[in-house]
Amino acid sequence: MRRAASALALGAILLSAAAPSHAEPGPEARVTAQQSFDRAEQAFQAERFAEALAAYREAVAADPSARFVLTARARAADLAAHAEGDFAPLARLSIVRRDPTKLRDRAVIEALARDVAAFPPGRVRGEAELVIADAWWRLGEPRRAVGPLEAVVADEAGDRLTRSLALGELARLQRELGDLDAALAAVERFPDLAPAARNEVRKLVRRGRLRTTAIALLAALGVVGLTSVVRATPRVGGLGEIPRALLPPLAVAFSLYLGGAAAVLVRLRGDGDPRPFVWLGLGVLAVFAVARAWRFGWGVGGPSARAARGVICAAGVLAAAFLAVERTDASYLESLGL
Amino acid sequence: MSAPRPAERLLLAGASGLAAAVLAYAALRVVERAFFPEPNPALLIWSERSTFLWRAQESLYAGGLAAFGGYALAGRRPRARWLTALIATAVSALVLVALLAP
Repeated sequence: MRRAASALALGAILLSAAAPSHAEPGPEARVTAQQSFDRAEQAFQAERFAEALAAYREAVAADPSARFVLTARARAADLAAHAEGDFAPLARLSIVRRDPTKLRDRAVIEALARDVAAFPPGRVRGEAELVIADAWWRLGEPRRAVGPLEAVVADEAGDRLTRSLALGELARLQRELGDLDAALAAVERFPDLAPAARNEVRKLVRRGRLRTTAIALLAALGVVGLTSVVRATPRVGGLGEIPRALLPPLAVAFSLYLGGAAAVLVRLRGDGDPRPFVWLGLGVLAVFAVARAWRFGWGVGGPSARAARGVICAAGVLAAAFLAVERTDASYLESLGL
Repeated sequence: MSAPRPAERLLLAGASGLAAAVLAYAALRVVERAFFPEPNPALLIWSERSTFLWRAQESLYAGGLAAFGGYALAGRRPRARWLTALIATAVSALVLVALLAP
């Protein structure tokens, strides 16, 4: 008796597990769902967004197992997220966004910009500003894209992804316009919004500062070299003797090897740029000539003077190396963390 | 001690270049093992580049640079005790690399 009851209970469990969790929609519901989906698609294409949203929802409700349900759900969610102002802003944006000729028309873009100022808070406002910025950029007026991009980034009610994209574009635009300080100010104002763009801009600013320092140092060394040559000329036997005094064959050979052999190695490797090494060789030769002129012009000096001269010239070599790389193929600096 | 003749200076330069190349090889190997680890070449079917060959080429390049320094130094310090120290350092470094980071 007990065994029979157990078998009965097990059978009941198996039957309940095998039964569908919800009732399958009938043929009528499937037809209704398909009709709703088709109506939604037509309304969406015709930019009747409120009607499209309602029809997508109807389609999902009528037949949750239909093959188009994923699409319908995604479209409904997207439309619901752009529903501010009863879809009027989205409809206004779509008129411009869907027509490439309008995107190339300055008057249309200016009119859209005027209308966007009255849009209610929400996703559409930010997306419209992005469209406007992109249009100005493509129309060859990148400075007019700055305002819309800044508006998107500052819009706290906007979508985070859109704001992040706008900040990256703003930083790129400011860099193209040559205003690295403005790019830095933008990314530093919202440090968490576009971390990759922030790192890129900070790296470029760091490189810019290093470039300025390197140029200043080499210019100072050039001045020292020129004054030293003036003082050294009578000591070495006249101006004609200066090249021989400043550039001994060993120094020239070393510089040629430093730049030339490295360039050959890079060429053998096949994927590098040999120019930084050639410029490095020339830079080292120039710093060497300045060091020699300094010694001839102002005397050898005591140990501290010699050490100071050595440190300054070593810094000059580093400055020349940095400029050789940064001005030709800055990708080498990536591996050095600069 | 008199200044070495040009041929002797060239010999000293060559010796210092070779010793420096060995030292550079050991240094490059340590840097590679520590910061740029690569898969074991014995486990690879085919590789476009041999890291060993590149390491050797870069070491020879560094040795060439050091040869200029050796030539200049040979003129000032003809006893070349520095060369003995350089060779001893290079050999020690190579042995250490062979034992610790082959």
